[in-house]
Amino acid sequence: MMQSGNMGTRSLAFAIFLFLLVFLLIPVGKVVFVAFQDVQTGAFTLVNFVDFFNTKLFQESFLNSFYVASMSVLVASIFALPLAYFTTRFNFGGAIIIQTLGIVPLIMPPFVGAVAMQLLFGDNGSFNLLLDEHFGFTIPFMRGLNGVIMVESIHYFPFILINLSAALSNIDRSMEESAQNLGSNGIRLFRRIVFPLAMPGYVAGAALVFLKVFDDLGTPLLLNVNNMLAPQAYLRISSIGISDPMGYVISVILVVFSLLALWTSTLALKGRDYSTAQKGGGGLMKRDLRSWEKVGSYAVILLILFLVLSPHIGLTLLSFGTIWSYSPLPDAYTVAHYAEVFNNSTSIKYISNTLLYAGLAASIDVVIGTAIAYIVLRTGLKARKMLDYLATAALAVPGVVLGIGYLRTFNDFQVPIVGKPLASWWVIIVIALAIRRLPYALRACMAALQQVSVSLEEAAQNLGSTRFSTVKRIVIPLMSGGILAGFVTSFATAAVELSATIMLVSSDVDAPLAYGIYVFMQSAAGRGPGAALGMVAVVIVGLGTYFSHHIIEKHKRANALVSAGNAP
Amino acid sequence: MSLTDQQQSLGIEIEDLHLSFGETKVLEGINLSIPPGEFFAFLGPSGSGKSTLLRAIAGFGPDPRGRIMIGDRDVTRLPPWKRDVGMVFQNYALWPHMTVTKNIAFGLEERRLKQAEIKQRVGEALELVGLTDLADRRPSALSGGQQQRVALARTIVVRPKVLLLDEPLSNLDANLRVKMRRDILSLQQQLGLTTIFVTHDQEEANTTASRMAVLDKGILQQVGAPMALYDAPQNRFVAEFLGHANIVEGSVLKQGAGLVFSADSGFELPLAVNAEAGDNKLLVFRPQNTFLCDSDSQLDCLKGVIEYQEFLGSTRRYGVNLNGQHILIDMKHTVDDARYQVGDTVGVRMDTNDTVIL
Repeated sequence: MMQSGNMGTRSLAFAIFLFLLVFLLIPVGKVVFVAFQDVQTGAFTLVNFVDFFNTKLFQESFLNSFYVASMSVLVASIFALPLAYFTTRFNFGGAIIIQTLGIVPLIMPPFVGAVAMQLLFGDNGSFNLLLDEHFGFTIPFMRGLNGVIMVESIHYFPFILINLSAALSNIDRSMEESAQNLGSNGIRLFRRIVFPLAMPGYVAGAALVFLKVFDDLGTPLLLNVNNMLAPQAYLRISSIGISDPMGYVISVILVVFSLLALWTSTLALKGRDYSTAQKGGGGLMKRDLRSWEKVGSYAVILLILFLVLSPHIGLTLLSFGTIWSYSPLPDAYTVAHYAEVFNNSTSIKYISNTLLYAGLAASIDVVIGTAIAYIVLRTGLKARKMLDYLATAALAVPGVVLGIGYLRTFNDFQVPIVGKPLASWWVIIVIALAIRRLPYALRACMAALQQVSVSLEEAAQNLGSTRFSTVKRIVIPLMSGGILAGFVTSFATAAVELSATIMLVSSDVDAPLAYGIYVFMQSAAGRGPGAALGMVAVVIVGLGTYFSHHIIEKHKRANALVSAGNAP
Repeated sequence: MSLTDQQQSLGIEIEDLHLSFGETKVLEGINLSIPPGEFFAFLGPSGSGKSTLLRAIAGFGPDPRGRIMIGDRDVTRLPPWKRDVGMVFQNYALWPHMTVTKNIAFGLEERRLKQAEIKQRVGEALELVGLTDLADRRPSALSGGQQQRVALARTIVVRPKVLLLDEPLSNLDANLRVKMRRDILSLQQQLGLTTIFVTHDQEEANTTASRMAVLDKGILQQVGAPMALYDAPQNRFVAEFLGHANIVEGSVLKQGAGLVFSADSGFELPLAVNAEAGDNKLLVFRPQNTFLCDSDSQLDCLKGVIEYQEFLGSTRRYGVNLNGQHILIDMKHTVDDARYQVGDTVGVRMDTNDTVIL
């Protein structure tokens, strides 16, 4: 049914393109443009970049960001490698724990856990206090950049775990058997056959972690590590002003590195088809663990489980603790912080704003996502691939950059009736969230539509249904599970997004939860209520994640029926 | 020494081999002796255990009970990488991240040979399978037949003691299959390697193997030369699995000096073959050794009704109801063979020399 688009799909595609043009391409283009512009004359110049690389603070920030992102990939790999290996190679019960591990860290935004991690692993945190008391030394887990690395790698290692496990389990067992047959075994076999075949999956995951960490603003800000790129961009714009060129230069560098990481991941995945190309035995060879191996594996898993859960443990303690400082545990427990949060009109406003913004953003995402999926997969429109690339490219635009772009582009645009610039109207936050989360929703919608057999639509059209009516009565109902999953994913992640919103919040009444947590966490007295708000965020994201998994599973089963009924 | 120089080939002895996946018994009491240099086939339907048996010889799958000897070495407890058994996998299992050359060199590198020797042997192997031009390609850039050759080259380059082929032709299209099986056979003869070939296709086994073993439900049904198995099946499974067979239940009776087969469905037939008299016997005869004749022509004709007929190209197959017993008759196709029609009552005659009593 690859007909070239009629007027309807054409204008739909054009409308989406216009939206992406105005809210993604132009703002980012503006940022790039300003970075190459002389502040006084407005002429093209490279002087801003020269200034950047001649300033000691920026050199340091650049190196720090690079160092932190690389080290986070390394540490995350150290967590993920053994876990992926255990699940794919051995028959043992721990596999379920490991699968859960893959989700748990993602339900808490990293910056929320950062303060809690400081209380557990900081210089005066529980762990080091105990260490000092019993052994007389401490480990600087959370000092400076270490803290950022620790928090980020714990948060993002599931990306590597998920990708690597998938890649490993896609390797046909005959790949390994044929190597054994030719005399190879043990580590050598792993190094020469298994690892190279799993490499694309690993690189894809690692590139994603690099990108996420490199762009992250919230975690370094909350840990008070300001000599990194994203915080510098934010601080320049928020303290010096919107016309300071350094914020733009940093933005360009962030975008370039994000694109590089994304490109690496795409390249890696391009070669990935070879792990599934050859069918036969199916799945990597699994074997049973010997009893001492079992003990060892469980020890490793429990250690990683504890590390991964520590932000959650810390946050829970913090939200229920009275005073917690210079002691391994809080002095006493109370629900006062929750009472404070729920009796405070501002924090209630934070929560309701979050639900409103994230809900609107996710709705925009699934509408656009469904439309793009349909245009890409079901029409022959020439520019259809471009829409897909454009929407996906939003992944490579850090929140800070989008925030700066909006400020710069829409500050002069007065919204009629409301009577203020678009850049400081709350709707711009919704749009920023929608653009940032669009790639997630788009993937979900694409996957959903790919599973709907074209013959189902053809059958409807054969019975006299128009194109529009077919979409309404056949396509959308069949995609509904995937669309819902896309909505929930967008919603849950938008609910805790900080880096773009922090730039765009113009008054407390308009602020969402993530911003509120950030504000609370700035003062020692605000930590308790901040943690309580953080728990609210965790619950929102946790429920969202649970439901999206639930929906995806249900959808898979329903679709299995659909495709079984349509088997050729 | 070059690849094609006759190496000392070793025989394979399998003694009382049992193997199970958990509770499911897959192989039961396999005894088999394959002399050095033989081209041997395992033939059986899917699920018969033929691939499992092959994999057990290579050291894959659950640990078996019993003994596997290669030459005078007991390999039953050895890991796959110490067995020196070359195996070509059904899906070829070429490593997609390595070029053809790298794939072929792998086993030699694992054996820590010198670079110069590896290079020379890889070159020879490439030449042997006729792929010298494609040495630097990735497996994904090769056709199915070429991939198969690489898999073969990769296996024989390490000079294994025996060669195992797991359904090597099943992923190729029909024409290529015929060519490849000849190529494999001639390669085997050049190398003089003891070779076992797993297949579910009897034509493949018939055309290549000097002897074969028919397996069903994990049990060895019969071992012998293809023609011997076809002509003298030892049981009903072998008779039915190899080609088409008409099987009639009945008893063998003494009648004067000779024997007669008395079918349960009512007809009697004098026997020309040797058999013991008794009940619960099976009369086995092939469709191509059975003929239609006019119902009123000869004395030893049995009467039947044609139920259907199929045109198969060189032959025409008739399904005939013989007193309630369904039998197949293949007649050579000629331009004017339309004289028998569905519904006709016809005479049926069989070549009594080509019957088997089980």
